Amino acid sequence: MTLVDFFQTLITGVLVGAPYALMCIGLGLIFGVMRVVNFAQGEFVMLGSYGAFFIATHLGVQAVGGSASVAILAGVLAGPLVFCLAWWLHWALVGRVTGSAHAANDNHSSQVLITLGISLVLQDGGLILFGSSPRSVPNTLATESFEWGELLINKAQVVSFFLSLCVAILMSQWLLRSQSGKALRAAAGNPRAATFIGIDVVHAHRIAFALGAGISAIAGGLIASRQAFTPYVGLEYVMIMYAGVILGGLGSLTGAFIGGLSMALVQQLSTLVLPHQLQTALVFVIFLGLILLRPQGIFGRSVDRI
Amino acid sequence: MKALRDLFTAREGQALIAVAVLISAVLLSVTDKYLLLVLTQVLIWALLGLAWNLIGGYAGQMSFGHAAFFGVGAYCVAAGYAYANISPWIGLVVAALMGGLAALVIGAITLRLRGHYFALAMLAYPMALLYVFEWAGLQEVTMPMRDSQGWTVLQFSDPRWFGMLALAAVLVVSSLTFWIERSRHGLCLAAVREDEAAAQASGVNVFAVKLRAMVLSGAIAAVAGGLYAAMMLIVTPRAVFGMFVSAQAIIVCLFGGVATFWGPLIGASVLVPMSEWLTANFGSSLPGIQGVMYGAAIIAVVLFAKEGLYWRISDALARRWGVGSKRKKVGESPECSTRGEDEPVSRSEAEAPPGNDDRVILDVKGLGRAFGGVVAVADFNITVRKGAIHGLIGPNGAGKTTAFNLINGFVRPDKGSVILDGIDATGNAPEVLCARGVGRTFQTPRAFRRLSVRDNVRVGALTQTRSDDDARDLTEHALGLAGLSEAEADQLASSASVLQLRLMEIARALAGRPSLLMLDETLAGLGREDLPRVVAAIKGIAASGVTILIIEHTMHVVASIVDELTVLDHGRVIANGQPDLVLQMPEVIESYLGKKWMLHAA
Amino acid sequence: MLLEVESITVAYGGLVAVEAVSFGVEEGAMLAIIGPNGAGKSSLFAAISGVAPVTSGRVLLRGADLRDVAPHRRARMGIAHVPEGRLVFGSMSVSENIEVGSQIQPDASRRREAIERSYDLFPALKGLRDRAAGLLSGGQQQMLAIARGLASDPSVLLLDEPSMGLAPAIVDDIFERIQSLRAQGTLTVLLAEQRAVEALESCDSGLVLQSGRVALAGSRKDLIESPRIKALYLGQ
Repeated sequence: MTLVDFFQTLITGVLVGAPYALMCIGLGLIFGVMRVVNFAQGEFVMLGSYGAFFIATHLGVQAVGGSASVAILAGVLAGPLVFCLAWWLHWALVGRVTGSAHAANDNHSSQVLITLGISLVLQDGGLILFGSSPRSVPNTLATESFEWGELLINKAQVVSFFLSLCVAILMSQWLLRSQSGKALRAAAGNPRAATFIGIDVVHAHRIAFALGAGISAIAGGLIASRQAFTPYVGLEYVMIMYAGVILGGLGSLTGAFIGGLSMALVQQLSTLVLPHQLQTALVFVIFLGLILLRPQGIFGRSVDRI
Repeated sequence: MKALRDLFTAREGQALIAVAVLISAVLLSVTDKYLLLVLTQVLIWALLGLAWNLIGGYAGQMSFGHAAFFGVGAYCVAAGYAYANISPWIGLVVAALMGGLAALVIGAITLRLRGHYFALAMLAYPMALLYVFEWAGLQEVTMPMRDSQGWTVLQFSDPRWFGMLALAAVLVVSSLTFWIERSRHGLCLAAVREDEAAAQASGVNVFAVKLRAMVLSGAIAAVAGGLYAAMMLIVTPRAVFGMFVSAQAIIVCLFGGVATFWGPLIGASVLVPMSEWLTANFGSSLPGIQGVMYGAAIIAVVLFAKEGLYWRISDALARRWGVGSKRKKVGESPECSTRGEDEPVSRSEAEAPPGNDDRVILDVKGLGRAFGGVVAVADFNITVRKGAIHGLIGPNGAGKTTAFNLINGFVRPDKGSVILDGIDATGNAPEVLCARGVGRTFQTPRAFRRLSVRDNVRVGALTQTRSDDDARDLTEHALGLAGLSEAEADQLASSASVLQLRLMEIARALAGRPSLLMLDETLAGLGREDLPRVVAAIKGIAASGVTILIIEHTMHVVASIVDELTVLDHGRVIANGQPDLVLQMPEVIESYLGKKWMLHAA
Repeated sequence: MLLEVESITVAYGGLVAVEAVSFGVEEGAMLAIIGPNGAGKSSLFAAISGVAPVTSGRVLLRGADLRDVAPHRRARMGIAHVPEGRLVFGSMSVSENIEVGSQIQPDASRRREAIERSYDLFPALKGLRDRAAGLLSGGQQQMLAIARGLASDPSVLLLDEPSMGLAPAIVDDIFERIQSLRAQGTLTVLLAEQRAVEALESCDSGLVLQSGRVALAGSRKDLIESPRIKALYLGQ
């Protein structure tokens, strides 16, 4: 392994890590606001990828400036689609076993279980709808790279990096500055007090759930051209996402982003030293280590805030 | 043996045997290989469900990672036979041991985690194992078919024997589960599931109980995996460590009914054939339909029948027939102590002579605790004399319950010391203090809702003695001292009134033979008519020699029954002494009524 | 009568917290609800703001029965509940807390005025605008919680035990400001307190609760001079 290899991996890791970091923001939003372990988060990413695929196919590769822009557009548009699906899911299912008024530990397990059910339905439903052959979204930029000395910087990755960063920043600014963003933070901070000042906490949860899903879906859409995916790809993402969110510290979106980036980077760097299967195992090992040794993560804020 | 006999004379035991006979009849009469495969699968998944039920249903710890144990067992049997020529029969035994060991290790580190973290960690284990096994080159382990050796290597010429073997396993584990349910283990598991804090305060070593359940669960899950391997003859990491295995274990149990040995059997009998039928008929056009079905099943259960079909139906029937709900009678059966092996119970002191003894039973000095920046309790001192009734009062938010929690072990003090009967007890866990003779009730009654009042009290007794007869005596004695009637004791805690729950909590604490009883706002929420009963009970308990430390707000009662009064405000002691004197002190009046009361008062 | 409570009973399972309590409050009046711990003051407020299980009786706001109105809607109808224990949004700044409290007021000018009034009432908060609420002292948090409640320009303010856990000097300060609220005369305030004197001094009339029932009611003067209150709190 040469120094060039190392830096190449480092750069690729950061570029590739941005969509993962964006995924983590989606999860962080749901986890932070609703305090619910969402099993279906990986499926939202998966649906984002498939959404991008179908939109891209529909729009046609030749339209609007070539496959690259189509791929990107499709990736981003997948977000709102999944947003709507998740909104409906919360309204129909998750919201029925949630409730700011109930604080019982009992209720949390109901929420977790229902997301497990949703995850299975989405996963295997996806199999039925999309088939098992791996797909990916064609993107001409995926094979082009900038050259910097001996290092190759993949153009498609750069685009998805900046897009992920943009969406992440947009999201955090919305949360910080907008009225609804503040209402969401209030509902997360203290549901009871939020109710007293007129905030509909169930509605806030619904928004958080749908947004979290939509954002993770955009990430899925952006990586759809980078690697092939199948309906089962969700579970792998779930582990990385939770590892990233916990690493960054529950309750901090910035932390989630950085945590996600770090995990992706670690995984990328591990390709230099570890065989393929162990790379993924490494994620789980780190994850376990975090939970057992430092559950508050790097940014160490308490679970109560977002 | 007596246990076995007891089991089979019980109505449910007989039902179990009947069902087993029915299933064997079905098994033996079927000749179609595919059907047999499905039937056997039903039994194997029921077995996994039974395993999960022990930790997930009875102990209430939802594990999302049972595939870890299932896979370990599968590989033990498969790899053992394929690579080392070890007979699968022995492989099954090894599987059980390895499964139990894995559960011990995993449980020891993971069971201390709370809520989300526990769920997520459990999820990670099988996933990690999956990838490690793939890397280790164990992507596919095939068990060679050796027809000539037949049943000695668990390969039967007639697949019905395999089904019978699986049935036997299910029968054994169901009986085991049934036995546990009715034993003192079952009672402790129920207590842990219903309310961990209350269980701890009653002396149950919650961690040990959970760990034991986990180990047994892991061992059985591994056996299920081993049987699966022997049946399929081929094992891949994804098939045995995959998320679907864990999910299936949970769903089968939840669907059929948690915390009952019937649950997994019902769940498996409904879900497995349904999924097979769906796959057979729609599998080609709708691949993955079984996953959708399982997903839909669990969504349906969560929305409509949270505890599973079994309870839904039995509750509905009970309502229809006007019988008490068919919640299990957690009965008596031989031992298994729940006391941790570390703490020898030395209760050499006899019951303290009432009243006049000058010795101090509880000496608290300088106790302090802050939460974040907020100081809850500071420099808290209290000296409780043996045999006395000592009151602790103070306005809302003064820190009284925090003080209790600091003494009783639910919260660790930042500074100060708690000396119980001359021995340092600072920071000891609640169950340890219970063993040392401290009983406690809670501000809001913490009942084990699905147990009867009597069983609630019995939990307190079980931690005192191995003998069932002694436990029964302690329970009855405690119920009597608390003034609860037979009828009141027989009812379910969920149907009891607040008054009865208060008395029950007192009795539960009394069953632990405490020398010090800590009562937290026992009179709160009671109507005026209810007060005399509780007061009488408290007086009677004091007369029997138990020291009482009581937090209360109902002033006229407090003033009439306590010997000594300590007043807390803003986390500090502001007065201490005889009740009549203390209640006239200006500082005390002001802390309650406001600073300028004295100016306005006549 | 702006707010009327008719024979309200609140029960949590078998535990009756409030029993058949009735009273009425005129617009602009200040009512003290006092009583020892466990008397049911918080549960009564929770019944008015909609978060408690009311088993019988009704709450009327300007004659309208609030029975089926969800809690967050009641807030929008003008009932601001400042809860026991403050419950500020710890990770949000002081200004954000107040701002989010004002959101339900659709009229932008009224919103601005209400926020200004809040800051005028608690000038100390002006200097703390950007501080995270979780880092404030207890007294500052209490002021913030009240400011947040006032920021929506409510018709009815339910102030639940503002003095709890606060040092005496701070309590004095808080009550002084509550009194100046009364001087403004436009807001209807219900003040639940354990500390009878401070509460009664700030209000026009009072209600004494004990074990969920109304034990005593009357004007400020009557109650302050009554020996029965001491007896209720500290026994005979």
